[in-house]
Amino acid sequence: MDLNEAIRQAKLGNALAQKHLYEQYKVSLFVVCLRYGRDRSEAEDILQEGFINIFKSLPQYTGEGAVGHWMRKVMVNAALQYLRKWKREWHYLDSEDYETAFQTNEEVFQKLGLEELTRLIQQLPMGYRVVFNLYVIEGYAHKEIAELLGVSINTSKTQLFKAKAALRKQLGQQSLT
Amino acid sequence: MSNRKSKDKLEALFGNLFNEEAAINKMDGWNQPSDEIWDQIHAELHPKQNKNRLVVFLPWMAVAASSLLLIGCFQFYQLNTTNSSQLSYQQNKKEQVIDLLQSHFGGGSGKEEKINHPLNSNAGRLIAYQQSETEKDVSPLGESPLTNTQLDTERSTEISINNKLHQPVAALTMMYNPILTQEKKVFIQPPITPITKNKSSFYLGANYTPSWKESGVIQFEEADNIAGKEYTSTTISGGLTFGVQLQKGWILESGLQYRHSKKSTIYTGGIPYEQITENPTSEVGKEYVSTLPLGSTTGSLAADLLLTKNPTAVTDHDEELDLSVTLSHSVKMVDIPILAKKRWAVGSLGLSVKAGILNRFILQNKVAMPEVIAQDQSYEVTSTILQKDTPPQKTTTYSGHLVAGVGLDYALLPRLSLYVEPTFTRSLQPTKNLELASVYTSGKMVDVGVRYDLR
Repeated sequence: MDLNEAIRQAKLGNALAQKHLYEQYKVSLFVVCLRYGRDRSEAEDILQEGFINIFKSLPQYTGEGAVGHWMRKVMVNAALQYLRKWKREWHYLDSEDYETAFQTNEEVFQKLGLEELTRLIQQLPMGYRVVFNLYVIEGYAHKEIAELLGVSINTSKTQLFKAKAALRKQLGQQSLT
Repeated sequence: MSNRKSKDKLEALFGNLFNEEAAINKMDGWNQPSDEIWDQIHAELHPKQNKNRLVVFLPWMAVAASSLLLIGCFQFYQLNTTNSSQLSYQQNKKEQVIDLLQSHFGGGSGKEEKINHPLNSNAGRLIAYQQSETEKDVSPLGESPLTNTQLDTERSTEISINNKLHQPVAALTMMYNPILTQEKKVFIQPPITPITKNKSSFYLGANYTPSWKESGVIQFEEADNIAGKEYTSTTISGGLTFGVQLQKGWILESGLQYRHSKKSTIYTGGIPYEQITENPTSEVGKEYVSTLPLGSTTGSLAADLLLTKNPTAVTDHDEELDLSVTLSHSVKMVDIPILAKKRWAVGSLGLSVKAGILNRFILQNKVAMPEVIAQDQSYEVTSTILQKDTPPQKTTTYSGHLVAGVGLDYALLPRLSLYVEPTFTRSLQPTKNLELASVYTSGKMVDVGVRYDLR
């Protein structure tokens, strides 16, 4: 089935067309979910809610821009909604001298694959994980993140800073083992 | 999304790799969601197509089964009434036939007579067979003057006549049991239907359930901070029952019960202070957000709790913050039970056990906002019921329950009895599946009532 035809049919509620779109985008969107969830189970919950939102709001998709990007945006919103709803832990690192606490060895990251990097992100506390994902991978600016999460720009910056520090810390531990 | 000018190596690595389509779409297994995900999405998007047909029709099947039982009870009742009048009518006929035979068979041997019987308007004839003395000890198989059709015992009525009165008249019993005796029998054929006194009887009852304690069984998949729960429940119930008493003490019973339940559930528990952490969505103080599953008569609810505290307040991290959450709601429902009972009678007393299915239809479910009290006064607690899990104000939710119980009855009058029946119910399926819990509903009740026997 042609992609445009699948979108048109899916807008009308055609289950086969919806399945076609799901099969087409499930992997790339699941990777997005894996980055926001703490584990595979949470990621699958997010994926499920995200796809339901996608198909329910598909009639609002005007065809402007790639459908994949539009879906990813809806999926990210679904992830944020999920985390707001069910999660309790929002952490800050107490330590303020994290930047100098660990030696950065970014070369090690180059050796890691997508799966390993995803696991590293999953191990971050939720607040760090969300801001890191939004800023580094989704490409949002701190101002946009602040509006999206209802926090100040400084909070967003701090969270990102700490997220990167935590990743470097994990990397340091990995490189030692 | 804005374009940013500078990126460090780490940002570039993650940013580039996670936006590289080829790498992401590589079939590695770890990035493949489970097969069931699509099924769940499809079920959510197309609920009508995915609803189990049995579940859809179950309420109607319950109503139909109860109606059939009610109709069946009336049929039994009518049949019994008819049989009684038929018995007396045929007794009269029997006597008249005997008179007729006495006048017709004065003596003689070995001949068949066909008589037009004026009392048998449908049949129009009466057959009597007079047996000779020599045939007494001989099996008359094949010799019987009556054909199979004539010996259709399903449609024949047998009348025994005392030897003394009707010495010349011999009888055949039936083709397959042709032992000849001195007993004199006459077959009147065809049409008088066999009359067997049916012992089944029909009864109507009214019952009232003053109150019972009900509890929700919550099976947590993982521990929750707030686990303790305490119920207080007040329920008023009343309705009608009808049933049919079959042979050997077996009873089928159904009915219609209206129940109104008011319930208050208090959840108590503690949250370690150290879990109450700052939330990046708030810059005014510490926050704790928790989703609390709450069992209820009709299923379950979930409430979001939000704790806030002045950031300057000092807390002892070795202790927990005690919370009590009170949730109140009232439920109106209609129950249609379908029960099988076994009863043993000892004089005027009866003992019974029962089991069956209870079909429950929720008419209305009103939920009050939860009241949350934190023992530490430096905390403020606000709570909201999650919209997704809040039952609508009015619904016709159906749930099937298993019913089991025992009963004691006492006959005040020959047809009127009082009864008491402690009963236990439990839902067959979870009445609600929460994120962390499957909720089954169980109940205990003591029905008291009266029954009037219509036999």
